[in-house]
Amino acid sequence: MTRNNYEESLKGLYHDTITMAGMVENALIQAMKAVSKGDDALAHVIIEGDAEINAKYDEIEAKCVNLIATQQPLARDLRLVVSVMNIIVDLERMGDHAADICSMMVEAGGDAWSGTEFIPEMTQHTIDLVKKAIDAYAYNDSELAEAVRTMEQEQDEAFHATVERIVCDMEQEPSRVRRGVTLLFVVKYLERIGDHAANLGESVIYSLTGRHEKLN
Amino acid sequence: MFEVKNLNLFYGDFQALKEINMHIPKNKITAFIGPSGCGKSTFLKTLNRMNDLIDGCRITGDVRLDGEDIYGSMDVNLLRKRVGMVFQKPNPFPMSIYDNVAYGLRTHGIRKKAKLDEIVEKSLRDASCWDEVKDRLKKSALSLSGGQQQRICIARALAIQPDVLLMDEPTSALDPISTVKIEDLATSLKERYTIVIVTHNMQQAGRISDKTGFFLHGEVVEFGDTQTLFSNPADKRTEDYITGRFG
Repeated sequence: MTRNNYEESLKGLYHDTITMAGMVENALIQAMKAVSKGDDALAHVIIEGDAEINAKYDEIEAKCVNLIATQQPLARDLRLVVSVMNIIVDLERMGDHAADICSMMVEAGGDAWSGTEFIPEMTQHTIDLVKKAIDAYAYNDSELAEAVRTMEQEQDEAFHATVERIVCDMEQEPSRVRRGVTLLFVVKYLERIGDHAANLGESVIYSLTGRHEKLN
Repeated sequence: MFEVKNLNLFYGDFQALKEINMHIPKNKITAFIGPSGCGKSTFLKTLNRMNDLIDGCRITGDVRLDGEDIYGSMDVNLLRKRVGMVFQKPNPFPMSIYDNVAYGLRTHGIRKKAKLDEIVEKSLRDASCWDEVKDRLKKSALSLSGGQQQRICIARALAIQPDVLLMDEPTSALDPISTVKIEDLATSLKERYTIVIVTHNMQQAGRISDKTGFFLHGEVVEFGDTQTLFSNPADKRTEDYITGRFG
Protein backbone atom coordinates (compact mmCIF):
# COMPACT_ATOMS: atom_id res chain seq x y z
CA MET A 1 0.00 0.00 0.00
CA THR A 2 1.50 3.35 -1.02
CA ARG A 3 1.27 6.42 1.18
CA ASN A 4 -1.46 7.91 -1.04
CA ASN A 5 -3.51 4.76 -0.62
CA TYR A 6 -2.88 5.00 3.09
CA GLU A 7 -4.35 8.52 3.17
CA GLU A 8 -7.35 7.26 1.20
CA SER A 9 -7.75 4.30 3.58
CA LEU A 10 -7.79 6.60 6.60
CA LYS A 11 -10.37 8.84 4.96
CA GLY A 12 -12.37 5.75 4.00
CA LEU A 13 -12.30 4.56 7.61
CA TYR A 14 -13.60 7.93 8.78
CA HIS A 15 -16.42 7.94 6.21
CA ASP A 16 -17.35 4.29 6.82
CA THR A 17 -17.77 5.09 10.50
CA ILE A 18 -20.08 8.02 9.66
CA THR A 19 -22.09 5.65 7.45
CA MET A 20 -22.40 3.13 10.29
CA ALA A 21 -23.35 5.94 12.71
CA GLY A 22 -26.10 7.01 10.28
CA MET A 23 -27.42 3.43 10.14
CA VAL A 24 -27.53 3.25 13.94
CA GLU A 25 -29.13 6.69 14.34
CA ASN A 26 -31.80 5.72 11.83
CA ALA A 27 -32.40 2.37 13.56
CA LEU A 28 -32.91 4.16 16.88
CA ILE A 29 -35.31 6.75 15.43
CA GLN A 30 -37.31 4.10 13.58
CA ALA A 31 -37.36 1.81 16.61
CA MET A 32 -38.84 4.56 18.78
CA LYS A 33 -41.28 5.43 16.00
CA ALA A 34 -42.38 1.79 15.98
CA VAL A 35 -42.77 1.91 19.76
CA SER A 36 -44.76 5.17 19.82
CA LYS A 37 -47.07 4.11 16.99
CA GLY A 38 -47.37 0.49 18.04
CA ASP A 39 -46.08 -0.49 14.63
CA ASP A 40 -45.32 -4.18 14.88
CA ALA A 41 -44.18 -4.44 11.24
CA LEU A 42 -41.70 -1.57 11.56
CA ALA A 43 -40.34 -3.16 14.75
CA HIS A 44 -39.59 -6.33 12.78
CA VAL A 45 -37.78 -4.29 10.13
CA ILE A 46 -35.48 -2.86 12.84
CA ILE A 47 -34.84 -6.29 14.37
CA GLU A 48 -33.88 -7.76 11.01
CA GLY A 49 -31.90 -4.67 9.97
CA ASP A 50 -29.51 -5.10 12.90
CA ALA A 51 -27.61 -7.72 10.86
CA GLU A 52 -26.58 -4.97 8.41
CA ILE A 53 -25.17 -2.89 11.25
CA ASN A 54 -23.26 -5.93 12.52
CA ALA A 55 -21.87 -6.55 9.02
CA LYS A 56 -20.73 -2.93 8.81
CA TYR A 57 -19.00 -3.39 12.17
CA ASP A 58 -17.12 -6.44 10.85
CA GLU A 59 -16.13 -4.57 7.69
CA ILE A 60 -14.75 -1.52 9.53
CA GLU A 61 -12.98 -3.62 12.16
CA ALA A 62 -11.24 -5.60 9.39
CA LYS A 63 -10.10 -2.34 7.77
CA CYS A 64 -8.68 -1.12 11.10
CA VAL A 65 -6.77 -4.37 11.63
CA ASN A 66 -5.45 -4.20 8.07
CA LEU A 67 -4.25 -0.62 8.52
CA ILE A 68 -2.48 -1.46 11.78
CA ALA A 69 -0.89 -4.57 10.28
CA THR A 70 0.31 -2.96 7.08
CA GLN A 71 0.83 0.73 7.86
CA GLN A 72 1.63 0.94 11.59
CA PRO A 73 -0.20 4.28 12.01
CA LEU A 74 1.20 6.69 14.58
CA ALA A 75 0.17 9.88 16.41
CA ARG A 76 -3.18 11.28 15.18
CA ASP A 77 -3.56 8.45 12.66
CA LEU A 78 -3.09 5.89 15.43
CA ARG A 79 -5.57 7.74 17.64
CA LEU A 80 -8.11 7.81 14.81
CA VAL A 81 -7.82 4.06 14.19
CA VAL A 82 -8.01 3.25 17.92
CA SER A 83 -10.97 5.60 18.33
CA VAL A 84 -12.79 4.10 15.35
CA MET A 85 -12.29 0.62 16.83
CA ASN A 86 -13.92 1.83 20.06
CA ILE A 87 -16.63 3.89 18.36
CA ILE A 88 -17.87 0.99 16.22
CA VAL A 89 -18.21 -1.16 19.36
CA ASP A 90 -20.42 1.53 20.90
CA LEU A 91 -22.39 1.96 17.68
CA GLU A 92 -22.89 -1.77 17.35
CA ARG A 93 -24.22 -1.95 20.91
CA MET A 94 -26.58 0.99 20.28
CA GLY A 95 -27.90 -0.88 17.25
CA ASP A 96 -28.36 -4.01 19.38
CA HIS A 97 -30.33 -2.01 21.95
CA ALA A 98 -32.59 -0.47 19.29
CA ALA A 99 -33.34 -4.01 18.12
CA ASP A 100 -33.72 -5.16 21.76
CA ILE A 101 -36.34 -2.47 22.35
CA CYS A 102 -38.28 -3.67 19.32
CA SER A 103 -37.99 -7.30 20.42
CA MET A 104 -39.26 -6.47 23.90
CA MET A 105 -42.29 -4.68 22.50
CA VAL A 106 -43.08 -7.39 19.95
CA GLU A 107 -42.83 -10.11 22.58
CA ALA A 108 -44.90 -8.17 25.12
CA GLY A 109 -47.57 -7.59 22.50
CA GLY A 110 -50.79 -5.55 22.62
CA ASP A 111 -51.00 -4.14 26.10
CA ALA A 112 -47.37 -2.92 26.28
CA TRP A 113 -47.88 -0.49 23.42
CA SER A 114 -50.54 1.39 25.34
CA GLY A 115 -48.06 2.67 27.92
CA THR A 116 -45.83 4.60 25.59
CA GLU A 117 -47.01 7.97 26.89
CA PHE A 118 -44.38 7.48 29.60
CA ILE A 119 -41.36 7.56 27.33
CA PRO A 120 -41.38 10.43 24.78
CA GLU A 121 -39.16 12.62 26.97
CA MET A 122 -36.61 9.86 27.47
CA THR A 123 -36.77 9.01 23.77
CA GLN A 124 -36.10 12.58 22.69
CA HIS A 125 -33.20 13.00 25.14
CA THR A 126 -31.62 9.80 23.84
CA ILE A 127 -31.99 10.65 20.16
CA ASP A 128 -30.59 14.17 20.73
CA LEU A 129 -27.67 12.73 22.67
CA VAL A 130 -26.83 10.20 19.96
CA LYS A 131 -27.09 12.86 17.23
CA LYS A 132 -24.78 15.20 19.15
CA ALA A 133 -22.14 12.50 19.67
CA ILE A 134 -22.26 11.51 15.99
CA ASP A 135 -22.03 15.17 14.92
CA ALA A 136 -18.97 15.60 17.15
CA TYR A 137 -17.30 12.73 15.28
CA ALA A 138 -18.45 13.83 11.81
CA TYR A 139 -17.34 17.44 12.28
CA ASN A 140 -14.18 16.61 14.29
CA ASP A 141 -15.50 18.92 16.99
CA SER A 142 -14.24 18.27 20.52
CA GLU A 143 -16.52 21.01 21.94
CA LEU A 144 -19.58 19.20 20.64
CA ALA A 145 -18.16 16.04 22.21
CA GLU A 146 -17.79 17.85 25.54
CA ALA A 147 -21.45 18.97 25.27
CA VAL A 148 -22.42 15.29 25.34
CA ARG A 149 -21.50 15.29 29.04
CA THR A 150 -24.29 17.77 29.96
CA MET A 151 -26.79 16.03 27.71
CA GLU A 152 -25.95 12.64 29.22
CA GLN A 153 -26.62 14.03 32.70
CA GLU A 154 -29.99 15.40 31.55
CA GLN A 155 -30.83 12.05 30.00
CA ASP A 156 -29.89 10.36 33.27
CA GLU A 157 -32.29 12.63 35.18
CA ALA A 158 -35.02 11.92 32.64
CA PHE A 159 -34.34 8.19 33.10
CA HIS A 160 -34.86 8.33 36.88
CA ALA A 161 -38.01 10.47 36.53
CA THR A 162 -39.44 8.10 33.91
CA VAL A 163 -38.72 5.03 36.03
CA GLU A 164 -40.42 6.72 38.96
CA ARG A 165 -43.53 7.45 36.88
CA ILE A 166 -43.74 3.88 35.58
CA VAL A 167 -43.29 2.42 39.07
CA CYS A 168 -46.03 4.73 40.43
CA ASP A 169 -48.33 3.60 37.64
CA MET A 170 -47.65 -0.05 38.51
CA GLU A 171 -48.31 0.61 42.19
CA GLN A 172 -51.65 2.22 41.40
CA GLU A 173 -52.85 -0.53 39.13
CA PRO A 174 -51.34 -4.02 39.58
CA SER A 175 -52.86 -5.15 36.28
CA ARG A 176 -50.40 -2.81 34.55
CA VAL A 177 -47.33 -4.42 36.12
CA ARG A 178 -46.52 -6.57 33.07
CA ARG A 179 -46.74 -3.51 30.80
CA GLY A 180 -44.68 -1.51 33.29
CA VAL A 181 -41.90 -4.06 33.42
CA THR A 182 -41.62 -4.01 29.62
CA LEU A 183 -41.45 -0.21 29.64
CA LEU A 184 -38.77 -0.30 32.33
CA PHE A 185 -36.66 -2.47 30.04
CA VAL A 186 -37.21 -0.03 27.18
CA VAL A 187 -36.09 3.02 29.19
CA LYS A 188 -33.11 1.08 30.54
CA TYR A 189 -32.06 0.28 26.97
CA LEU A 190 -32.42 3.98 26.13
CA GLU A 191 -30.30 4.88 29.13
CA ARG A 192 -27.60 2.41 28.00
CA ILE A 193 -27.70 3.90 24.50
CA GLY A 194 -26.97 7.25 26.16
CA ASP A 195 -23.95 5.73 27.92
CA HIS A 196 -22.62 4.46 24.59
CA ALA A 197 -23.15 7.92 23.07
CA ALA A 198 -21.07 9.36 25.93
CA ASN A 199 -18.36 6.77 25.20
CA LEU A 200 -18.44 7.85 21.58
CA GLY A 201 -17.88 11.45 22.70
CA GLU A 202 -14.89 10.31 24.77
CA SER A 203 -13.42 8.55 21.75
CA VAL A 204 -13.83 11.73 19.66
CA ILE A 205 -11.99 13.78 22.30
CA TYR A 206 -9.18 11.19 22.45
CA SER A 207 -8.88 11.06 18.68
CA LEU A 208 -8.68 14.84 18.35
CA THR A 209 -6.62 15.74 21.41
CA GLY A 210 -5.00 12.62 22.88
CA ARG A 211 -6.82 13.31 26.17
CA HIS A 212 -8.70 10.57 28.01
CA GLU A 213 -11.87 12.16 29.43
CA LYS A 214 -14.83 10.58 31.17
CA LEU A 215 -18.12 12.03 29.96
CA ASN A 216 -20.43 9.85 32.07
CA MET B 1 24.14 10.28 32.75
CA PHE B 2 24.72 12.78 29.89
CA GLU B 3 23.83 16.42 30.36
CA VAL B 4 24.05 18.45 27.16
CA LYS B 5 23.74 22.22 27.24
CA ASN B 6 23.70 24.74 24.38
CA LEU B 7 25.62 22.40 22.08
CA ASN B 8 26.45 23.77 18.63
CA LEU B 9 28.50 21.92 16.04
CA PHE B 10 29.91 23.35 12.81
CA TYR B 11 31.49 21.63 9.83
CA GLY B 12 33.38 24.66 8.48
CA ASP B 13 30.65 27.26 7.84
CA PHE B 14 27.83 24.75 8.01
CA GLN B 15 26.07 24.47 11.36
CA ALA B 16 25.06 20.82 11.79
CA LEU B 17 23.77 21.05 15.37
CA LYS B 18 21.97 24.04 16.87
CA GLU B 19 21.59 24.76 20.56
CA ILE B 20 21.03 21.18 21.68
CA ASN B 21 19.89 20.78 25.27
CA MET B 22 19.21 17.29 26.51
CA HIS B 23 19.36 15.02 29.54
CA ILE B 24 20.08 11.40 28.62
CA PRO B 25 19.05 9.23 31.56
CA LYS B 26 21.05 6.35 33.02
CA ASN B 27 19.97 2.74 32.39
CA LYS B 28 17.42 3.74 29.80
CA ILE B 29 17.30 3.43 26.02
CA THR B 30 17.22 6.82 24.35
CA ALA B 31 16.42 6.86 20.62
CA PHE B 32 17.01 9.59 18.07
CA ILE B 33 14.85 9.76 14.96
CA GLY B 34 14.67 12.21 12.08
CA PRO B 35 15.21 12.45 8.33
CA SER B 36 18.62 11.94 6.73
CA GLY B 37 20.95 14.87 7.37
CA CYS B 38 19.01 16.09 10.43
CA GLY B 39 22.03 15.77 12.73
CA LYS B 40 21.06 12.76 14.82
CA SER B 41 24.17 10.70 14.00
CA THR B 42 26.36 13.80 14.35
CA PHE B 43 24.91 14.37 17.80
CA LEU B 44 25.46 10.70 18.73
CA LYS B 45 29.11 11.05 17.76
CA THR B 46 29.55 14.14 19.94
CA LEU B 47 28.88 11.89 22.93
CA ASN B 48 32.20 10.06 22.53
CA ARG B 49 33.99 12.76 20.55
CA MET B 50 34.07 10.86 17.28
CA ASN B 51 33.61 14.17 15.45
CA ASP B 52 37.05 15.28 16.68
CA LEU B 53 38.50 13.26 13.82
CA ILE B 54 36.76 15.37 11.16
CA ASP B 55 38.67 18.32 9.69
CA GLY B 56 36.99 21.68 10.18
CA CYS B 57 34.67 20.43 12.89
CA ARG B 58 34.08 22.97 15.67
CA ILE B 59 31.99 22.43 18.77
CA THR B 60 30.68 24.90 21.34
CA GLY B 61 28.59 24.25 24.44
CA ASP B 62 28.73 21.74 27.21
CA VAL B 63 28.54 17.92 27.22
CA ARG B 64 28.90 16.32 30.61
CA LEU B 65 29.13 12.63 31.47
CA ASP B 66 28.23 12.14 35.13
CA GLY B 67 29.10 15.80 35.69
CA GLU B 68 32.47 15.69 33.94
CA ASP B 69 33.00 17.92 30.88
CA ILE B 70 33.95 15.49 28.09
CA TYR B 71 35.35 18.32 25.97
CA GLY B 72 37.40 19.62 28.90
CA SER B 73 40.12 17.80 30.71
CA MET B 74 38.73 14.30 30.25
CA ASP B 75 41.10 11.92 28.45
CA VAL B 76 39.56 10.93 25.10
CA ASN B 77 40.71 7.31 25.40
CA LEU B 78 39.11 7.09 28.83
CA LEU B 79 35.93 8.66 27.43
CA ARG B 80 35.76 6.10 24.62
CA LYS B 81 36.37 3.29 27.09
CA ARG B 82 33.34 4.49 29.04
CA VAL B 83 31.25 5.24 25.93
CA GLY B 84 31.39 2.37 23.42
CA MET B 85 29.97 2.47 19.93
CA VAL B 86 28.33 0.11 17.45
CA PHE B 87 27.96 1.19 13.84
CA GLN B 88 25.41 0.77 11.08
CA LYS B 89 27.40 -1.79 9.12
CA PRO B 90 28.91 -4.61 11.15
CA ASN B 91 32.65 -3.96 11.14
CA PRO B 92 34.44 -6.91 12.72
CA PHE B 93 38.22 -6.80 12.38
CA PRO B 94 39.70 -9.33 9.92
CA MET B 95 40.74 -11.67 12.67
CA SER B 96 39.22 -14.46 14.75
CA ILE B 97 36.03 -14.07 16.78
CA TYR B 98 38.07 -14.39 19.96
CA ASP B 99 40.63 -11.79 18.93
CA ASN B 100 37.90 -9.36 17.91
CA VAL B 101 36.37 -9.43 21.37
CA ALA B 102 39.77 -9.46 23.12
CA TYR B 103 41.14 -6.61 21.00
CA GLY B 104 40.14 -3.74 23.26
CA LEU B 105 41.19 -5.64 26.36
CA ARG B 106 44.69 -6.21 24.96
CA THR B 107 45.05 -2.54 24.03
CA HIS B 108 44.17 -1.77 27.65
CA GLY B 109 46.99 -4.02 28.81
CA ILE B 110 45.19 -7.21 29.75
CA ARG B 111 47.41 -10.11 28.64
CA LYS B 112 46.62 -13.04 30.94
CA LYS B 113 44.88 -15.75 28.94
CA ALA B 114 42.61 -16.85 31.78
CA LYS B 115 41.40 -13.29 32.30
CA LEU B 116 40.92 -12.75 28.57
CA ASP B 117 39.03 -16.07 28.28
CA GLU B 118 36.73 -15.07 31.11
CA ILE B 119 35.90 -11.63 29.74
CA VAL B 120 35.54 -12.84 26.13
CA GLU B 121 33.04 -15.49 27.25
CA LYS B 122 31.12 -13.07 29.44
CA SER B 123 30.99 -10.45 26.67
CA LEU B 124 29.80 -12.98 24.09
CA ARG B 125 27.18 -14.23 26.55
CA ASP B 126 26.03 -10.64 27.24
CA ALA B 127 25.78 -10.09 23.50
CA SER B 128 23.62 -13.24 23.16
CA CYS B 129 25.98 -15.00 20.79
CA TRP B 130 28.09 -17.30 22.99
CA ASP B 131 26.10 -20.44 22.17
CA GLU B 132 26.38 -19.74 18.44
CA VAL B 133 30.15 -19.19 18.35
CA LYS B 134 31.64 -20.97 21.37
CA ASP B 135 32.85 -23.89 19.23
CA ARG B 136 34.50 -21.72 16.58
CA LEU B 137 36.16 -18.91 18.48
CA LYS B 138 39.29 -19.25 16.39
CA LYS B 139 37.39 -18.89 13.11
CA SER B 140 37.38 -15.57 11.29
CA ALA B 141 34.65 -13.19 12.44
CA LEU B 142 34.13 -12.37 8.76
CA SER B 143 32.76 -15.90 8.24
CA LEU B 144 29.70 -15.10 10.37
CA SER B 145 26.33 -13.81 9.17
CA GLY B 146 25.63 -10.06 9.28
CA GLY B 147 23.48 -10.39 12.39
CA GLN B 148 26.14 -12.47 14.16
CA GLN B 149 28.86 -10.03 13.12
CA GLN B 150 26.88 -7.17 14.62
CA ARG B 151 26.52 -9.02 17.90
CA ILE B 152 30.29 -9.76 17.85
CA CYS B 153 30.79 -5.99 17.48
CA ILE B 154 28.49 -5.43 20.46
CA ALA B 155 30.45 -8.05 22.44
CA ARG B 156 33.68 -6.25 21.46
CA ALA B 157 32.22 -2.98 22.76
CA LEU B 158 30.99 -4.62 25.98
CA ALA B 159 34.34 -6.33 26.66
CA ILE B 160 35.95 -3.13 27.88
CA GLN B 161 33.01 -2.64 30.25
CA PRO B 162 31.66 0.73 29.12
CA ASP B 163 28.93 2.66 30.94
CA VAL B 164 27.24 3.79 27.75
CA LEU B 165 26.65 2.05 24.43
CA LEU B 166 26.05 4.25 21.39
CA MET B 167 24.35 2.50 18.48
CA ASP B 168 24.22 4.16 15.09
CA GLU B 169 21.46 2.43 13.10
CA PRO B 170 22.68 -0.97 14.34
CA THR B 171 20.03 -3.02 12.54
CA SER B 172 19.61 -1.19 9.24
CA ALA B 173 21.75 -3.77 7.42
CA LEU B 174 20.13 -6.77 9.12
CA ASP B 175 17.20 -9.08 8.37
CA PRO B 176 14.09 -9.02 10.64
CA ILE B 177 15.18 -12.00 12.78
CA SER B 178 18.65 -10.55 13.43
CA THR B 179 16.96 -7.20 14.12
CA VAL B 180 14.73 -8.76 16.77
CA LYS B 181 17.81 -10.32 18.42
CA ILE B 182 19.61 -6.97 18.57
CA GLU B 183 16.49 -5.28 19.93
CA ASP B 184 16.04 -7.96 22.61
CA LEU B 185 19.71 -7.60 23.41
CA ALA B 186 19.48 -3.82 23.78
CA THR B 187 16.46 -4.20 26.05
CA SER B 188 18.26 -6.69 28.31
CA LEU B 189 21.48 -4.62 28.35
CA LYS B 190 19.82 -1.46 29.62
CA GLU B 191 19.74 -2.89 33.14
CA ARG B 192 23.52 -2.43 33.21
CA TYR B 193 24.26 0.08 30.48
CA THR B 194 22.87 3.34 29.22
CA ILE B 195 21.99 2.95 25.55
CA VAL B 196 21.64 5.69 22.96
CA ILE B 197 20.46 4.57 19.54
CA VAL B 198 20.00 6.32 16.22
CA THR B 199 17.40 4.63 14.05
CA HIS B 200 15.49 5.23 10.84
CA ASN B 201 12.99 2.64 11.95
CA MET B 202 10.36 4.43 14.01
CA GLN B 203 8.69 1.18 15.01
CA GLN B 204 12.06 0.13 16.42
CA ALA B 205 12.31 3.33 18.44
CA GLY B 206 8.76 2.71 19.65
CA ARG B 207 9.50 -0.92 20.55
CA ILE B 208 12.67 -0.54 22.55
CA SER B 209 13.28 3.03 23.70
CA ASP B 210 12.18 4.82 26.85
CA LYS B 211 12.93 8.30 25.54
CA THR B 212 12.85 9.56 21.98
CA GLY B 213 14.25 12.71 20.43
CA PHE B 214 13.10 14.01 17.05
CA PHE B 215 15.82 15.90 15.15
CA LEU B 216 15.22 18.23 12.22
CA HIS B 217 17.68 20.56 10.48
CA GLY B 218 20.17 20.19 13.33
CA GLU B 219 17.66 21.00 16.07
CA VAL B 220 15.88 18.87 18.62
CA VAL B 221 12.25 19.55 17.81
CA GLU B 222 10.88 17.32 20.53
CA PHE B 223 12.34 15.10 23.23
CA GLY B 224 10.25 13.09 25.66
CA ASP B 225 8.75 9.79 26.71
CA THR B 226 8.57 7.45 23.73
CA GLN B 227 4.93 6.48 24.28
CA THR B 228 3.82 10.10 24.37
CA LEU B 229 5.91 11.11 21.38
CA PHE B 230 4.46 8.36 19.19
CA SER B 231 0.83 8.59 20.34
CA ASN B 232 0.42 12.30 21.04
CA PRO B 233 3.39 14.40 19.91
CA ALA B 234 3.42 18.02 21.04
CA ASP B 235 4.93 19.53 17.90
CA LYS B 236 3.25 19.46 14.49
CA ARG B 237 6.60 18.81 12.78
CA THR B 238 7.02 15.63 14.86
CA GLU B 239 3.47 14.60 14.02
CA ASP B 240 4.02 15.18 10.29
CA TYR B 241 7.28 13.23 10.32
CA ILE B 242 6.11 10.17 12.21
CA THR B 243 2.86 9.95 10.25
CA GLY B 244 4.79 10.10 6.97
CA ARG B 245 3.46 13.50 5.89
CA PHE B 246 6.77 15.26 6.21
CA GLY B 247 7.62 17.93 3.66
